[in-house]
Amino acid sequence: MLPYLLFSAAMFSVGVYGVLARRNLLIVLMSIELMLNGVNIALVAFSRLHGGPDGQVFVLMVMAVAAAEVAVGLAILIALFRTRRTVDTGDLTSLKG
Amino acid sequence: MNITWVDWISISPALAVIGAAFLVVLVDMLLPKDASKAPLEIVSYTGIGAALYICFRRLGEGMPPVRGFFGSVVLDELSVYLSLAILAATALLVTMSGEDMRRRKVHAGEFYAIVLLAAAGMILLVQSVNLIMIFLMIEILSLCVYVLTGITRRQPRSGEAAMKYFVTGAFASGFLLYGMAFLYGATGSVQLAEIAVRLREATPMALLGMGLLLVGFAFKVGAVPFHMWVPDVYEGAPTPVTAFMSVAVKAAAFGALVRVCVAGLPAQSAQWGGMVWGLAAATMIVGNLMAVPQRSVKRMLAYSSIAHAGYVLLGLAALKTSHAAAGAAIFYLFVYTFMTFGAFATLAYLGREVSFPGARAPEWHDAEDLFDFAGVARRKPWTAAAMTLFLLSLAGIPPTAGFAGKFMLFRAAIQEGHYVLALIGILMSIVSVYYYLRVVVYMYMKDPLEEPSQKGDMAVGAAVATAAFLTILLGLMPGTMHELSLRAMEHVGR
Repeated sequence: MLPYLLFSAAMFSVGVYGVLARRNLLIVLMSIELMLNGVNIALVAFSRLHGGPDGQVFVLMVMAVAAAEVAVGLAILIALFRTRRTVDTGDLTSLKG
Repeated sequence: MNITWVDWISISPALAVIGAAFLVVLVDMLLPKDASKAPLEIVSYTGIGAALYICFRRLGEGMPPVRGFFGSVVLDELSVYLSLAILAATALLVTMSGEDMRRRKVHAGEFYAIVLLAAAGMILLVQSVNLIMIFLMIEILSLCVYVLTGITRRQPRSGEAAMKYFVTGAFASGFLLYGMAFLYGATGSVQLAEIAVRLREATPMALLGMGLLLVGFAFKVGAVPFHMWVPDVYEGAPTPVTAFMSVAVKAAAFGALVRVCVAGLPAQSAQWGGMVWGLAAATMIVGNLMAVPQRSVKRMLAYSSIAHAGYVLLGLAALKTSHAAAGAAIFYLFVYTFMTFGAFATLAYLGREVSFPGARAPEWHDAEDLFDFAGVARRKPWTAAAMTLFLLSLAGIPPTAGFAGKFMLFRAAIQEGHYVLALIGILMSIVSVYYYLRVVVYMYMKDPLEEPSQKGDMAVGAAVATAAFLTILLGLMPGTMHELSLRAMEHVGR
């Protein structure tokens, strides 16, 4: 049980680090995916531990949500790129105060 | 196990709204390109009206809760109560956005469909009693609201706000989900009621899950210290969308938070009560103090909405000892819906078209700066009066709805012995009077700028007037809605 949880925590942490530290929005999107996949591993491991289908159903739902999230995220990214010509978080500074 | 008639009844308000969303897309395809978009509004109203009708009937008769889909959703008094606020905000948004979205160059069909789907997600979120459902519905409403934030996609500000909202929102979803995974790991169930039974004593894993879950929710409702995205997103989004999400998203997320705490984690109330206590205190203090130096009225209202999230959290912090304070918090959410929506809608009503040098066509510009409000009382006395009413209500001055809400909330908190929180709340309300009244001073005591005043859009005016009417009405007669909120909270755990 523990190795799976450690793996899941490591994957989640890498994702969190990526979101917080990287400035390229594409990599930020990928890091968010990594966070969700880290959670998926934990869910599958718990599902195995408890022996019910709930966790696996949850994982399938999370995968569907992750796909939808990427679609919306990339759409917003493209709209942003068309007006700004940049995907760097450091350049998103027009809203301040 | 088959899906029966009862299952469909349990999600009937959301079904009506989803049906309207699909019809909007269909009708939009059939409409000629240059035709009036009024049919879309009529379809939206029909769906919202049907959902409102169902909610009012359930509220009126005080019926027992209906559980559906193997106990994953419940149509009870709390969900009906918050659905009313969500549906009211949706109806106001639909009312104001016909002409308003045209001049912002937004495609009406997409807009109404996404708004209705967001509303359906919110309604189902406050009905969810299952971790999977809660996660899915949070995502459905969030994805819709991300898109709405960026829907004026030729405006750089809108795109930036959408991206910031998306990244912070998805980040928060990750924490929320990880929290849910640990709760599932600790109990082996995703049903809130089952989790409550199996979590008699707190294991470290359950506490970790609860903490991560609360962090995720704190992000979603914009509580300090997870509020950094709120001002930027609220400022960059098109103003009608800001109005909608500042009230409806908050009502839905708080509904889910209350349900998770009361129905899922009653035995851990000491632990989450402490965390919510800290969140409430920090949110009230930071939200109000940060609003003071703002020169942009839209940004000031964004910080004020953070502050108001703090007042609602105050009610939740007192929840562990009694339901009266939480009932007052739910009532406050209801009241907050109309005063905040009205204030943001007024910004849109006072907007004007500005021709920037070098731009091909004039761009729509909402009244965002303090100077945009200079002398409004002379040009548009009724609008100034309505804005004053909303601001007084937000500050909590009688006889407005905001006073009734704050009075119930602080009274309940003091009765429960939460003196420190109540004191912080009252002190911060006094601070808030300063930055709300500054706008009033600009409207009534400064000379107007030379710019020619533009005629406001009738539909936006109608939304402002409705919100103003309800703000007064709830201020003069808060009794019924307050009692209903108390009843909703009493029955939520069962």
